Amino acid sequence: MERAIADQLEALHPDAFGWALHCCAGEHGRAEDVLQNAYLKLAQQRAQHDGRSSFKTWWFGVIRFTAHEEFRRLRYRESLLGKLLLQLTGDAHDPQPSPARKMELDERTAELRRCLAQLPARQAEVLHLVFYQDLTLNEAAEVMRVSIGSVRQHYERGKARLRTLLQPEHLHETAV
Amino acid sequence: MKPQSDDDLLEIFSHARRHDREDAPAWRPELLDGPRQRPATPLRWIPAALVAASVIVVSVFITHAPVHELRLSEALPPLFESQPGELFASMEPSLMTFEAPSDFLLPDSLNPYNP
Repeated sequence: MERAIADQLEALHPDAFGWALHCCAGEHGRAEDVLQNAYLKLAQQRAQHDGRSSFKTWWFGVIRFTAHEEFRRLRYRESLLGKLLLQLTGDAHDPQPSPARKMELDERTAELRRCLAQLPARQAEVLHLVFYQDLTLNEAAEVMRVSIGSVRQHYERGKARLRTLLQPEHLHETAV
Repeated sequence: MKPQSDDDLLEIFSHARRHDREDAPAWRPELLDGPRQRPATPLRWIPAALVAASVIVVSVFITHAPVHELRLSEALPPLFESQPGELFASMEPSLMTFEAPSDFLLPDSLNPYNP
């Protein structure tokens, strides 16, 4: 692997983890697995940056795709057949964070994650990419592989809906 | 540049970002060094196990299959309970088969028992 790419990946690593965490609905363990699998794709040259988009948007697209693959795998594992096989192999995996981990989770961050989880996936994605990752709407459209018009629509609707969900009285309702 | 009105959302996301950064796993450059051995998936052995199980079932079926030694004629119940004997034994012999004591006087062409 080229030194320049490795340096870029290292610089992006914390944000890449934040993006993986968002793609995995805040599940720390799954996010680590997804990021590791994405690095593996690079190491095995199953994913290569062709220069058509910026490195960051391309890399975030790879992580997003890998998270979707992981989600499909998880859905299979949660199916009846998958559960049966897990019982047979004894390879049970608890996707829920441990109680200690839950205690560590910052309350404000947890609230934000709860509210984002109530939004349509595209709206939550674009809000994360713009406000958390500081991407432009064009860059968010590249990562999400949708048109800029679609991203703009998700962005505006998502912002309005998130503000409503973050209202104290609404937070109280969802907590109850 | 984000409009001023989005500052509330920016502040919330920035807080989450700072929190996640503290929580992020350490950077491991060795992940990029070369192909890593993929962990063995629990499903990998399933086709081999299915083939082995099939072979065992087929071999058990072949070796322990019941042998059918009875013939059909013996397996079927008898339709008539009768004493064995000559067929049509009770019938009179016909004229054609009748052998008279003077048959030896007949010419050879008319005597079927003396060709």
